[in-house]
Amino acid sequence: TKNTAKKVWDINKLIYLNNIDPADVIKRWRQEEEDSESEDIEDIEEDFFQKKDDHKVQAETERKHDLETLDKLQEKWSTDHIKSIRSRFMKTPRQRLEDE
Amino acid sequence: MSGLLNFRGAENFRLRLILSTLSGKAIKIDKIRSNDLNPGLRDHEVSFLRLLEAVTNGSSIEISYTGTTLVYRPGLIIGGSLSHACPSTRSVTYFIEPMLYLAPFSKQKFSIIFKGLTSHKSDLGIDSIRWGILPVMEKFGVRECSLHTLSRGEFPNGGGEVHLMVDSRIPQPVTMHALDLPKITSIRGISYCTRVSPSIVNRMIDSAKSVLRPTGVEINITSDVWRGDKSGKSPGFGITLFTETKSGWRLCIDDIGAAGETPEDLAQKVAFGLLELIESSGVVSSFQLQLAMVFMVIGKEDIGRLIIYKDQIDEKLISLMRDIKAVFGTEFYFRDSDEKDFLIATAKGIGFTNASKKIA
Repeated sequence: TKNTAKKVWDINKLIYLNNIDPADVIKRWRQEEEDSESEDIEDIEEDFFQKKDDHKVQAETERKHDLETLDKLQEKWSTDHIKSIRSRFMKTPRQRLEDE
Repeated sequence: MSGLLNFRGAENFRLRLILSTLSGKAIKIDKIRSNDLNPGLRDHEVSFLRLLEAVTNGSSIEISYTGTTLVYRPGLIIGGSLSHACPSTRSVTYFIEPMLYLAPFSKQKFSIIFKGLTSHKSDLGIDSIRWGILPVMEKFGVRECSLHTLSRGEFPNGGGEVHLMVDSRIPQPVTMHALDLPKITSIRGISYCTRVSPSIVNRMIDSAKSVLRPTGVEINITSDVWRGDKSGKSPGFGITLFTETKSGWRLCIDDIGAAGETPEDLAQKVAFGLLELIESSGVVSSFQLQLAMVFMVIGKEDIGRLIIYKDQIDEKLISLMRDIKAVFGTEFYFRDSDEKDFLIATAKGIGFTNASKKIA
């Protein structure tokens, strides 16, 4: 749809606006998708030009992957959630039979 | 000083140096932890600079007195046979991973023995490089590449030894066209331990399998018990899991046991992590995506395309894309894919020519 096309255009522009901190790029992008009201890109630029380019000191610990706690993971995947990724797997002959 | 590309801060340290080396452009990095109580470069970063110096010819490195500013003028990538003693602050993979970006474009073959820790909480495992990154390199045309673990060396005392060999040398990476999500045919893995009861590997395998069974595919996790001299100086255990597809793309995840963590908890966490990864990745997971993006940019002057999950565009990736643009002037463009919530990352290769080949 036209709406999604606009969102994609936004991220392509946002990525290379160097005065916007990467964390804010992500925030902008994801937030925008949540409220259907699409913010004007000009407004974003304006309000970022005022922002001081102070460099954030990144956390010393680089982590490989940010996983939730085991409890949360267990809860998420113990339900039928696994069905949502079923399509990523090759079906076994038995599953194919069951589908028919 | 003119002619220097300027970067700021300690992030993306290794890749900035790699991008500089590949492009032949000199860079300056300033304000490296300048507000930190312990400012400047860390041991492993200095060690990495030494390694870069060793695999290139004619590089010059200037570090300021406080270690907060660095000027790097890259030389030619020459490779060769050498051995590198890695400091105990990071795993050997911290050093191996960036070498993979350089090795295919070297004058001579890369044959490097890395000594030190073979696992660290913040670094990739050896098996993740072998089963995660090497297959991605193969996709870009780098076929003869191997990583042999001669001995494991767990955190904190290390004592491991790993041999990296890259025999293929290519003028430039092949243009990538990966637009579909391949079906996962099976899940494989490696469960290893050193200097602890061998039953631990089986406990990990059982726990991981119980989590992954509902996926319905075959699960095959190899047990890898290290004994005697080859098991390093510290006890430890860890597990690596990856997906297998017909087209050779693999999503890969690993972790090692932390103090007080049971093998069961670790294996379950990694197994759930693999499910999370399948849910939120395109053809590659995040650590593979970095290499894929750099290889797309230095490829032939053609548009490469790669399917990713939209949330894979994170802070780290944005920093990388900005650094790539600063060095090579190339931008990535993301467009919608046929799959919901997936995007196609596209970039035009710069038509990079292997500098050492041009001269030879």
